[in-house]
Amino acid sequence: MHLPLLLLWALSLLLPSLVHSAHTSNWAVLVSTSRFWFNYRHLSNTLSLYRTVKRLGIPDSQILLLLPDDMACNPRNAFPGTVYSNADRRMDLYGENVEVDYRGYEVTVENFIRLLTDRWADGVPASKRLLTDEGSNVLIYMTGHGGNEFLKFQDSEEISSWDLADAFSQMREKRRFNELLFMIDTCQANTLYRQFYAQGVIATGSSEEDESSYSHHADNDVGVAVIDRWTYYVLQFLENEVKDLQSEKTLGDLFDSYDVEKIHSRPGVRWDLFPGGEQAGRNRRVVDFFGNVQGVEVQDRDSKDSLKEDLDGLMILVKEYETFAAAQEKNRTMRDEYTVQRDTASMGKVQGLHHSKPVGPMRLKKDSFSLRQVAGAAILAGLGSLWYFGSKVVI
Amino acid sequence: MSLAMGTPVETQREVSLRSRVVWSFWVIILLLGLPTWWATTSIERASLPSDLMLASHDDLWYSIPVCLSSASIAKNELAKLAWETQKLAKGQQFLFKFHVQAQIQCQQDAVTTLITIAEGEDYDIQYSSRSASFEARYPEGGMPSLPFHLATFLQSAFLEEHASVAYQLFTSGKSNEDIQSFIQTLPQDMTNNIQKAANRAFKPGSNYHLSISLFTAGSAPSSWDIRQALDTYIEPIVYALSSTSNISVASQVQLYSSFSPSVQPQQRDSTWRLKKEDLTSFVNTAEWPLSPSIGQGPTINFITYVPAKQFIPLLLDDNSTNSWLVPQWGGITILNPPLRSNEESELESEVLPDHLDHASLVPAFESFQTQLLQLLGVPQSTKLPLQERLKSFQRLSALSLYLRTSSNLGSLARLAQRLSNIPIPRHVLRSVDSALARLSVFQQCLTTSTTGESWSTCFTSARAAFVESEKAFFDKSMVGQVYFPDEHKVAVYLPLLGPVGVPLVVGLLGEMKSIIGRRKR
Repeated sequence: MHLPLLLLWALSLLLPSLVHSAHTSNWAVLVSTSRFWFNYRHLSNTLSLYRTVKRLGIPDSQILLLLPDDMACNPRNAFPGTVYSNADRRMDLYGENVEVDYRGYEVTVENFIRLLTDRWADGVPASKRLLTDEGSNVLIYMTGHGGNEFLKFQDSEEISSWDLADAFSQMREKRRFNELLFMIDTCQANTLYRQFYAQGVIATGSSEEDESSYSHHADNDVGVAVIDRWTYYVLQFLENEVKDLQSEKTLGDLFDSYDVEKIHSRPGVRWDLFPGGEQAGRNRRVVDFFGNVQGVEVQDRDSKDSLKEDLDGLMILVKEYETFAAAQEKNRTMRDEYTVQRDTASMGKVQGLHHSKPVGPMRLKKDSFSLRQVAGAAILAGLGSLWYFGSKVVI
Repeated sequence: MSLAMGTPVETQREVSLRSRVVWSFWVIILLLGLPTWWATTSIERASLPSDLMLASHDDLWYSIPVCLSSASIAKNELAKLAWETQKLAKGQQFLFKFHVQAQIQCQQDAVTTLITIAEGEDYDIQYSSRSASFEARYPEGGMPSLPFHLATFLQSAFLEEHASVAYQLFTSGKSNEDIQSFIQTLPQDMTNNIQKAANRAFKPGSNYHLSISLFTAGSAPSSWDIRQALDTYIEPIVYALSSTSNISVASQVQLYSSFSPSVQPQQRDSTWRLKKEDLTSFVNTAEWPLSPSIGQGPTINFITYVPAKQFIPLLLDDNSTNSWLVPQWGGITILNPPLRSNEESELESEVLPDHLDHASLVPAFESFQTQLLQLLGVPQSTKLPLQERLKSFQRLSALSLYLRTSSNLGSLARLAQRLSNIPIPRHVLRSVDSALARLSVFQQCLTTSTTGESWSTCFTSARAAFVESEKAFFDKSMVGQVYFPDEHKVAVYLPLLGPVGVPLVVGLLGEMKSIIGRRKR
């Protein structure tokens, strides 16, 4: 058990360039879990985070935004079409360019777990999937109403700390992330990451067990609280200190900026699952999670020239391809003719019937329908006879 | 006791009625209730062959077929040459070995490296793209040391492939001491290049979609010579890789599609410039119809963008080429087509052309071609010509499919062991079985393949194994229902079983007591 670990450690000293876990892409999953107008602040929390990660360069295709309600179009909204996170109303979070990936009743525990583990039915569009790999750094932000080791989804169901822990461990097992930052703003938030056991996760929450998380302030014209305290101060740090992707601020700086006096609850951080522990975790830059990795490579002129030499080789490939394509075409027509002949000869009737039948709605398991009818009738008859004979027996 | 409380004496009929009621309740509970509860709450878990799935296959090696042919050397001489070359070429490279054959006429296929030998003035090995083979020359009387030269050439030419294999094994955690010490002997820039290339490329898979799009800011150009451009630049590569990767190609033209609103080109002299920071956010993901997500596998995007007339020419800030690559996503080229004069309208003297002909697409597609090779992860060695690099890529991708399959299966087995709540349906077991079967075919095939034909069975089994293992891991029915800790279960069952269970149990106990009492009497 210890030998491979030692070897790996020795190796990491010898091969710094190979072992250094540089990430190659950034993804963000931003989740609000509550509905209804009085939970305005949860949507504005999430949208504020959305603005921040977009400002730092994560493209919409790599942000999954889950909003269960639409505050901008709520009839009680005095400022239709807008969402604000501050009473000064300087910045409309809804703006012109918001891409909500899951909305309304699509935001469920099941969908969230499917999203994390990428277990979907065929045909789910790429924009709704978390298509990460072992080089991805993932930011997960959740906000809503929660309690000891659970977070409520839409007043109807809840996700527990165990569910999250198992989902993250499945992601780790399938190498779906390099490093993961989990942030949660809810009452008793720190209990939500208590059960985590997947390596490579840093978790932070807004309040300890048996503590509430509070909203920051209300906008009297909007009529409800517009942002939560912890999120407000996290955003303040991100806006003031992390101006662009060159920012050298670390997660340590972010977490040190938590001020219990201002937040009114005790935020927590969990480092022990991160390789290298607190020391390594504190040194991770904020933009490693909130910003996009700058990987664009402008084509040089000489790389094209080197391929020019291969062009002759490519021309051979072109010729080969052309003969291949011609042969394919010929084969196909011959085969088609053959199949048509054979089909018309042997099973013409069936074929004809099959073609003439219009495509209608398909019933799954045709036979089970009549079977179920019989079973239902039998049960009814049984109950009826029980009632009838039962009264005879008693009297 | 009953007399003291003043309750009336029960008649015999009432007693027997009560005992019948109690017993019938219990019969229904045992025969109907318990089975129903069991059937509705148990989780379907097929037993996975964990040992096989977790087995690691460390000693992995394969052979690279090399075929020698010559018009001037006698057959038995050539066979001897081949044998000696093979013996000498076995050196530092331990992850594969060369299988050198001698033939009068070598056949071109997906993996075999061809070498034609002829007499010349000095020892010299050059690639001839005309015959798609290496041409080796030796001076008069230089036959005896020819094997040495051939072997050295093979070793140096395939060093990078060996390094890539070692790197792959290393990153997938299947390395041993030999591999680690080998990696340390490599030059730093080679390991850097391999790592960079791996970060740039899509993760190896068996299916890719190429989506080639023309986005124009206005109404023109509205058509392009895409068929010809594809046939010249893209299809040959697709064809050459067809034995390992299934690549489908689609193209689209979208009008009135401007780039992302956050990008603001700056005017400089008479040109418009894009800053380097703009390049990451250039793609307008909200409005451009990209990533159609057809079937499995990632989409590789290639975008040709024609700016609006007032922004022409739109160039990059550092005056380099006008195209860039986004790792693991695709390539983008900005095309500034020459304006044509317009006689129809007096308002505009010059307009964008309606049609992009082949010549104007050449620069874009030349860079798409380079980018496609980079995005797929085709080795970029300068020592080997493209065709040989494609052969090397096919071997490497088969190998990485194999490694990913075995890691998928291992992950699934570990998950099944750890998460007792996760359902494992029967069809997942079937996929796992089939993946395991293909995997063992591949292992066998890898060590015995010495020709292009036998390699092609390796490719098919590696692909099939990978597809099956992904299907098994990502099966949609394996999303475990919400986890219930034990105290939650108690909380659910207690209110249900308390009020119902207590009268039932007490009734049963009373019945037992009266039976025992009757026996005693």
